[in-house]
Amino acid sequence: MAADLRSLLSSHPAGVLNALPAAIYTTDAQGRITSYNEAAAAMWGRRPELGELWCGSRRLFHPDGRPMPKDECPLAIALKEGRDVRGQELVVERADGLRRTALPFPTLVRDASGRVTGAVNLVVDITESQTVRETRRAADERYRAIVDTQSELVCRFRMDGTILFVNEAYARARGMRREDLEGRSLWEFVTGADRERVRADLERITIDRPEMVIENHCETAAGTRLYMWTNRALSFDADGRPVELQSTGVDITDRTLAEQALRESEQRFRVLADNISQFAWMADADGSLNWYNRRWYEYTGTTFEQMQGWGWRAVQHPDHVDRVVERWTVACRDGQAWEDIFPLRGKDGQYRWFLSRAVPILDAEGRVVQWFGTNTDITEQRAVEEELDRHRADLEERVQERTHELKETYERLRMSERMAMMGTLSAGLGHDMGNLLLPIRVRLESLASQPLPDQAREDVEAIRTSAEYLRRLASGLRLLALDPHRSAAAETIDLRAWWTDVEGVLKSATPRGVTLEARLDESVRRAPISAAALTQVVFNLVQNAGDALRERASGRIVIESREEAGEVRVIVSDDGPGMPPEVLERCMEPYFSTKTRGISTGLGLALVHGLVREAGGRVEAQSRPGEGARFTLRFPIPTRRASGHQPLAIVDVRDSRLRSLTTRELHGLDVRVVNRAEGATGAALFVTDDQEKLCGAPEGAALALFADAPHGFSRPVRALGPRPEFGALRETLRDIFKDHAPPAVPARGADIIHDR
Amino acid sequence: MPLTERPISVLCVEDNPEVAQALKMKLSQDDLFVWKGWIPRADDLIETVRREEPSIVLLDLDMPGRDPLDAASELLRVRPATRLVVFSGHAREELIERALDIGAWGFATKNDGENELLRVLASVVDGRVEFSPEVRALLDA
Repeated sequence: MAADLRSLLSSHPAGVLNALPAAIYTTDAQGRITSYNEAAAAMWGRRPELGELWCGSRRLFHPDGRPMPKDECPLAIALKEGRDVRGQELVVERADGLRRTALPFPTLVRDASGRVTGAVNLVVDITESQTVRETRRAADERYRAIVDTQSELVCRFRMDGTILFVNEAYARARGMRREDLEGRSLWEFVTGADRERVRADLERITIDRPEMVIENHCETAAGTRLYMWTNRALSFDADGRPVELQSTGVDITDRTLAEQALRESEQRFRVLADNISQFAWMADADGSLNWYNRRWYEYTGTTFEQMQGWGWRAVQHPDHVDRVVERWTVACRDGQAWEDIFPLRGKDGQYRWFLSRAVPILDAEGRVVQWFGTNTDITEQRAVEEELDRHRADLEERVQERTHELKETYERLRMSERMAMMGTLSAGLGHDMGNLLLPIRVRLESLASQPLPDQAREDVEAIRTSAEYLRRLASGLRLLALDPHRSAAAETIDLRAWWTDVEGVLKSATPRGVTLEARLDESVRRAPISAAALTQVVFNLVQNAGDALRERASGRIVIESREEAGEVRVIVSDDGPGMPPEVLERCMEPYFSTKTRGISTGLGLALVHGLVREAGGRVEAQSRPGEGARFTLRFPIPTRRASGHQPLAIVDVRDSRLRSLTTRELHGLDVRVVNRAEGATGAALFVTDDQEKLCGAPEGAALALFADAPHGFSRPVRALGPRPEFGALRETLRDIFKDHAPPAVPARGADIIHDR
Repeated sequence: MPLTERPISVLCVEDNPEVAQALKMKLSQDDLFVWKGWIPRADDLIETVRREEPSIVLLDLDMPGRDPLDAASELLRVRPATRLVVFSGHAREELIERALDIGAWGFATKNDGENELLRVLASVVDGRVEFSPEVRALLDA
């Protein structure tokens, strides 16, 4: 049965009081002890007389050891100040000198009107808990001393977030004072997203996983970010409930910021690298590629997985890859900047050329940490360079060719000049010869007609022979000097007459010891080639034959003419060394010569060939080594007109000179001429100098008039004027009879070259 | 038209005295001709022809002084009856044509010789235009 405390107190006051473990005593309003219990007496270690002031202990002290006057004890203060005092610890010294730490609870007693009548003091001996506290504090202090010296950031807090302890380092890192942190809630400082994160982290710590190591960050008082590498360790009570969390962190802000800065910098670099037009890449110190810019992938169409390390070999050209790999390896080994030029395969399978460079990036000790490289597309440049080289080579070749051509042209020019000079000389000589010989001949003739002694007669004859020879020589020279091309079409020459003219000059071209002989068949009178052309042709052939025989200083050159197989043939042959097949084949090529350049232009036989063909003939060359050479000029026999019909012209011209001239010209065109229209049937031409005679012109005849054009004449008339120019006359007549003119002998077939 | 007078008087225009003398000798051998003399330059041609009145003028082309064909051209305008025969060391087509254009009757080269010249002269006397072989060859080409 629960006794009412008041009834207990009123019935057994002392018993109750003495049962209490706490010391209790009372005083009157002035502080005189009015009663006390056994615990109080035990505490004091004495039994004071009632009426002692304030306290029954021998002495009182402050907790820090200073003496406390009794009238300053909490009870005294309570009574003096009229208020209850709480929480002030003191040290009570007993009579036997033993000291105990106590916590008094002085409480004022008031009467009904509120007037203080006395006080009751409950004093609790807290010596034991004080010791514990002391120990704890000492431990704490030791702990603190250790932890404070750490650079790590240490924070201990209860699960509800109350911060129990922070070390100096932590407080400093947070930019706050320790006292502003300890006792406050963690959640005051960890807010927003951080709070969510930390809460989530903390929930992951369980008794099975009591520790957690994470990268943590939070905001400091200054608003900056604090980065920590945090170890969180939870301590649990006997029931497994979490009690406290100790967080130990390493401040990695600098490192983290540096890393961030590096990453940003890298990021910026990559953006840059991706946007330059070159390929860029990075490699480890050992040369293994660890990054390529976007351009690389765009070009090669590859992926990083394919290209990393040494995978780039796959896009190298097979002819180059080994060399490239070797040089790259060496560069990495030596840490030397690297440069190379090689083709890379694009995603289209085509190769392009790249100039590639890499530089090493060194650490503070000079060791290579990374390689940074680029590839620059130089395909266009190379193409241009190659083309330039080609052009240069081409140009050089052309320059050489040109130089060669120029030299040849120069040589030819010199030769031509010399020949022209010779031509002029010849012509000059020929002319002068004429002047010189005429008097000689005439005088000799006069001499010969006079009575002479035999010897004198003989002498005269000899001189006449020489003079004749000279004359022919002059003729021959003049023929040689004439431009052979000018006298081209339709000329025929009398071979024998020609020979008399040229024999001298040809013999003069023959070297010592070599004979020149002509065997001109009687039956062959005419050759369809101009005298000048034939002279130059035969002169060249004789010269060549002579050159072939010169060294031997003996031999024979024979000139023949005969008619064979419908052709007039002129043959120049020699018994010299002959030509090997390869020379024979080319002997009539322009500029081809077996003699040294200075002596020969290589044009002689080409000239022969040209002139003969111009005249409508062919050249046949035959030779075998050791069997001399034989050149046959083959001309078709000049034929009259196929019809065999000789046209007729009527030349009814009073002026005898003009009549004679016209007649002569017509004869030259192989036209028969009569001087009267009467009886002239089928005339092709009627020419007169009398306009009125035109009416009598036969039908079908072309009309020509040596007068001004007639008026109102019905038929077309070629009016040449009263004094026609010779050139115009000739043209007109030739034009009228062009269809009747002996056909120009066409060149037939190719030249024949064969050995005998 | 043949020349009718006999003998045929010939005037020579020639700068080489040996040649002139030889021609004189040659022509003198033939009764057909009579030598009227020779002048070394064409400058005096017309005057001389007026004075001497030759039937034929024998004209060399290569002479100093006035261009012989030029002088001859003038002569033939003034005295068209004169028959001109060119006797020259040169035979070039343009010279021949030019000579014919001014009205020459004949053209002979010295190289063809004096006998040929006589032949040409005889033809000209006969009223025919005539050429020595070299000239003929050139024209017939």
